[in-house]
Amino acid sequence: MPLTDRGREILKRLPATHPRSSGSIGCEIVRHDDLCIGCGTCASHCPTGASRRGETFDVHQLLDAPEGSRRGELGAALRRLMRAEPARPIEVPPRVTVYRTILYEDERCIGCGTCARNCPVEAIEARPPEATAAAAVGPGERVEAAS
Amino acid sequence: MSAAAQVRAVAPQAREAAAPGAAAVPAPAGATTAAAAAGGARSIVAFCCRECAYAAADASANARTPLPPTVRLVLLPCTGRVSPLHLLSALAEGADGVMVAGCLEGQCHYREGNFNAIDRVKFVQRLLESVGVEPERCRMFTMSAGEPPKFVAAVREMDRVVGALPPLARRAAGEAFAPPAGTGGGG
Repeated sequence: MPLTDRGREILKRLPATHPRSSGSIGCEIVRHDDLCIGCGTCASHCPTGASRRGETFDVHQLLDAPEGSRRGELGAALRRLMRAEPARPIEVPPRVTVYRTILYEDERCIGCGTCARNCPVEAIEARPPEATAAAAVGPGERVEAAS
Repeated sequence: MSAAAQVRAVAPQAREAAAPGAAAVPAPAGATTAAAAAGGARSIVAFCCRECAYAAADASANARTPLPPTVRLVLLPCTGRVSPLHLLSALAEGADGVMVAGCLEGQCHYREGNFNAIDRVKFVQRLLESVGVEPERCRMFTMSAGEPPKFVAAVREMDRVVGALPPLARRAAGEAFAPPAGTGGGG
């Protein structure tokens, strides 16, 4: 789906670092799993269901969580009690919504960047592809805040 | 003195009894023998809903029904407040068992709090199981405010189950996990 003229006008006014939401832009979605807190906000905002909450949870996500995070606290408590390495992911009961592995399907992602904009911990990055960004801005035009 | 204050007065007794060498307060025979059989006192933390389980505990204290000295009550407005972190950190900080006592299913004062608690307890049980700890150490009980005997029975049941288990081994915070030699990583 090509951009309309009006869309191009709007994009011109945005700094290049601004995440762009049009489905036609096709941002590259980069996920940083180490930062993810598993809140599922991306899953609830995803228009195509590419990000969703899984039914299982890998206990290593707690054990390896960074210190100071909510998951890290739980992981630290679990580490003190631990007698064996968790062998396989555990099934999560339906009402426990937070402790789930977030699944992501490349195939269904349209690169709209909604997940990146809504992520509270910036664990998802939406990188506009170079070619599209250049075409949208147009040659010779200066974009503020572009570094 | 309010009835709730009387329930809280159970706690100092429990603390004395849990301390090694202290004279034990009279406790139900079943509980003491179970704890003694496995060697040493256990401690159980009971997270109680204010609307039902805590009221039941209150009534049982008014009736002077002895609770096992191992149990400590924690008052919650609703069991829906309990999080996996509460349960796990209680275990990590010294409890041998944790129980959550809430309203009967469908009778939650806040509509669905106890259903949330049931699932969180289930989640913690699975977490414990996956790291090789007995899942019986965490349990959910439901009762109404008018059932003090059921509360006492739940606490005694928990005391019996946890008393039969070995004391919960825990390592110091930050200490790295080393798999015991001889186990081949399976399980």
